Amino acid sequence: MRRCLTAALVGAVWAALPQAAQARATVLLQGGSVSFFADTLAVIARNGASLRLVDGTHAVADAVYVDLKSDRAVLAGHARVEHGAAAAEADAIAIDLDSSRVDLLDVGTGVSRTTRTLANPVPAEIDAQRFAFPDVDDRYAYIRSRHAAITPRANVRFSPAAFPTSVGGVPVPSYLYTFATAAGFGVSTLPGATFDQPYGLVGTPTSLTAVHARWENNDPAFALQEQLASGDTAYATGAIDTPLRGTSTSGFNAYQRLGTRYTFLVDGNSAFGSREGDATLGAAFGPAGGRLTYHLQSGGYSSFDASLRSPDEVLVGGITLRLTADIGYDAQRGGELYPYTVLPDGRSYATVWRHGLDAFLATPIVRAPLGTTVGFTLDADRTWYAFPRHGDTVTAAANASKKLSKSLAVFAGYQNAWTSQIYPDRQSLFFPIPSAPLLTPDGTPYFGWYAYNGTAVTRYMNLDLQYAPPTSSTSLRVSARHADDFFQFDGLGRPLWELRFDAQFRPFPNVGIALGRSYDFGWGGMRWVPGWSFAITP
Amino acid sequence: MMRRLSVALSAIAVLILALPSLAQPQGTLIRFTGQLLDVRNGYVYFTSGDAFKLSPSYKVADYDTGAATTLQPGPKLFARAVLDPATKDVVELDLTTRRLTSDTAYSTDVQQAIATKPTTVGAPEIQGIPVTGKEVAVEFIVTVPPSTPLNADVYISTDAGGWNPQEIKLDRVEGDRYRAVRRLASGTRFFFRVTRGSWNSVEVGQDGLEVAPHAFFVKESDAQSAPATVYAWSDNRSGAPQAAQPGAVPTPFNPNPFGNSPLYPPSRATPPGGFPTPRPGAPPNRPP
Repeated sequence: MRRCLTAALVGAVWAALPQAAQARATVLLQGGSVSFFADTLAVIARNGASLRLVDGTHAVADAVYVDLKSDRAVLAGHARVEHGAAAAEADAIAIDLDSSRVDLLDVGTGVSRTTRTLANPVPAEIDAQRFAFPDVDDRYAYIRSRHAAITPRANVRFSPAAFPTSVGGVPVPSYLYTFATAAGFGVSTLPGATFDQPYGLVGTPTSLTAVHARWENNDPAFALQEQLASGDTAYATGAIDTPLRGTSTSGFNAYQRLGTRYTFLVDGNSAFGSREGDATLGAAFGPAGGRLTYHLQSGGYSSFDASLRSPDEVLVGGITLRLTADIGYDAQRGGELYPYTVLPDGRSYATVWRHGLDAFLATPIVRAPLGTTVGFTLDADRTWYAFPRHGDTVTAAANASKKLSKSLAVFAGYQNAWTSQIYPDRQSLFFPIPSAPLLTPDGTPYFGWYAYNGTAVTRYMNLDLQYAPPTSSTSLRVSARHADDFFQFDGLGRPLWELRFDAQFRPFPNVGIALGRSYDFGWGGMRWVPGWSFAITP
Repeated sequence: MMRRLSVALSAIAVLILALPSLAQPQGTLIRFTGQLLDVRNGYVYFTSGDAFKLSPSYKVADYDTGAATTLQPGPKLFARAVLDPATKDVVELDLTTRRLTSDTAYSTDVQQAIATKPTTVGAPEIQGIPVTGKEVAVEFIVTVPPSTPLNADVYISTDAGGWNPQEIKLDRVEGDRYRAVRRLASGTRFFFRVTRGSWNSVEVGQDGLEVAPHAFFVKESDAQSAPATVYAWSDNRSGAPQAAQPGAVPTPFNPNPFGNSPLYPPSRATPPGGFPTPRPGAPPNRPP
C-alpha cells in the first residue's frame, strides 16, 4: 500500500510538471560520427553532418559543432541551410538555437546576417566567437554516436551510444545525458549504496526521471527517482528503492529559498515499517543564523527545536568562538515519552521541554616544531530538561600534518568525545547496576557494562601517509586508525584497529579509478576482516 | 650623479604613466553587451556601471535580426553597443528583451602588424579569443573549516558531472586543505560545489544557509587554480539542539545509543548470520 502511495505521489509530481511540454528534442544532429565531450558540452558531427531544427530548418556541412552551453550551432565546410523553399550556402554558418538568428560567413564577401527564414540577408560585422569551431581530438570523446537529439538547456539523447576507451567502446542502444545546470539535480533521496548507475528516462530543463541500477548490502536493487529543480533556489525529489531481497524504502524532500534570508526544507522517508519527516525553516541575520525544525515520526513521537547561532567571534591568537543557544521539546503521543517511562511515579510524560547552550572554539592552523602544522578544536554543549535532568557533551580534537616532500605528507589526528546523562538523585533509577553482564552478539559477556552509569567516552586516532604528486591525478594513501571507546565491544561501536590502502589513478584520459583495500582487526570474532572498495570516476 | 638620478626618475615616471595602459586589454573596445540602465544626455548606461557616448546618428536595431525594431532603449532591456574604434562613440545599439550575458569584444591593435603581414591575413576580429580545447591542468584547492571530521573525505561535485556528490575526490595536503588536479579542456565552463561525499554534507555559507555553486571557466593556459573555501558543512550541527529522540540516550535499555552519529560508523565486521538489531523496548539482554 505504501509503495502504491509513493508511486502515486511520484506520478502526480511528474504529471504536474510545468515544463513537460518541452521534453521533446528540438535539434536533431546526425553524421557518420557524432562525438560528445562532457567537459565542454560540445557535440561534433563529421562525415556528412546534418542538422535539423523543429521549425523545419535543415542544414548540412562537412562538420557541425553544437555548443550546448550557449545553444549555438556552427556548420563548417560546404555549409548549406534550407528553410522551406529558401536556401543559402556559405563557407561557415552559425545558427542560434534559442533564437532565429543565422549568420553566413563567406570568405570572399564577408558576413551577412539573416533569420531562419533566410530572407533579406544584410551585411554584418564579423564576430569570430560565433564561428569558433573547437579543435578537439575525437579520441577523447566521452560518448560516440551517429545520432543526437538535443533538448536545449536540458539533455541530449545519443542513439546508439558508445563509451570509448583505449581498448574499445561499450555500446548501448540509447543514452540520455543531462546537462541541466540546476544544483537541485544533485539532491537524491536514495539511501547509500556501494554502486549506483543512473539511467535517464525523460528529462527537461527542470526535471529528470531516472532508473538506478544499484548494489546495496551485497544485493542488487533498482530504484526510480524523479527530480524537479528550479534554478538553484528550489527543488523537489522523490524516489522508491526496491532491493531484490529485502525491504523497499521511499523518500522525498523539497527545498525552497525564500529571499536572501530564509530557506525552507521538508523531507520524509519510509523504511522498515517506520516513517518520519522534518520541516525546517533556516534563517540568516548577517553572519548570525537561526533554525526552526519540527520533526514527526510514526509511533507518535515528535520534537520541535529553535536555535540561534552567534557570528564567529575571533578572540586572542586567532581563536574562533561560536555560541549556539536552543530551545525545544520532545513529545510522545499517549504520554509514553522515553526514557521517563521507567519512572514509577505513575505520571504521564507527554511533552518535556528543554534548552541548551553550545560553545565551539577552534584555533587557526599554526606552525609547530619539526615543520609541522597543528590545529585544535573544542566543543562543549549542555542541555537542560524541564524534568530534573541534563546532558553534557564535550569534544576535543587535534590534528597535525607535516610535508615530507612536495608529493609526500603525513597526517595525524586525535579526537576525544565525552557524553554524559545526569538525573540528579535518580541516576541509579535510569542506569541501574545490572545483575548480570551484557552478552555480546557472539555470546561473550561484556563486564564493562557494570561500569556504565550514563557516561560514555570515545577516543579516535588516525595516522595517514599520503603520496600525491602536485601535477598528477594519481594519489596513494595508507591509513592506520584506532578507536578506543567506552563502551565498545563486538557488535557495538567501531573496530579497534583499521588499516586502509587507497589509490586513485586515471588509466584513460576520460576515466578515473579509485581503489581501496581495508582491514578491520580483532573485531566481530574474526582475526581480521578484509574489504574492497572500487569506484569509476569521470 | 644628478643626471643619472633625473634619468632614473624620468624612467620611473614614464613607467608609472604606462601602468594603467598595461592593465587595459590590448586593442580598442568595439562591442559591449549587457543590461541597460538608462539612455540619457547622449550617453548609454549599463547596469555593470559602464557608460558610453552615443554617436549623434546612432542606429537602434533588433539584436537577433539586425533589422529596425520597435523597442526603445530603456531600463530592463538588454543591449549590445557597437562602437566606432575611431571615435569610440556608440554607432549602433542592438536591443532585445532576452537576457544576454555580459560580454566585451576588442579589436587588436594592428598598426604595427600591417607593415609585416600580408593583407590576406584574416581581419584581427576574426581571431577572437582562441579557445582550442587543449588540455589544461586545473588544480582544485579547497580549504575546509575546523569542524571537519578528522578522517573526512572531501569531494568536488559539478554540474557537468550530473552533480554526483563524489565526482572528484580531493587529496588532503595540509591540515585544512584538500587538493585535486584534473586535466580539462580549455573553454570548459562549469559550476561546482564541495561535499563530504553526500548531499547531506555539503558546504554552506558563513550564515549557515546554502550557497550558490562556484562558477569556473578554463582559460587558454597551461595550468589554472580553482580555489574554494568551505565555511561550514550542512550536517555540522555543532550546538544544534540535542534532540532526545527514542534511542538517542545511552542506557542499558538502548544498546545502540549513538544512532547515525559520525563517531560511530557502522562496523563492517559482520559475523556470519549478522548481528541482531536491538530496539528500545525489546532489548536482547535486558537486565532485571
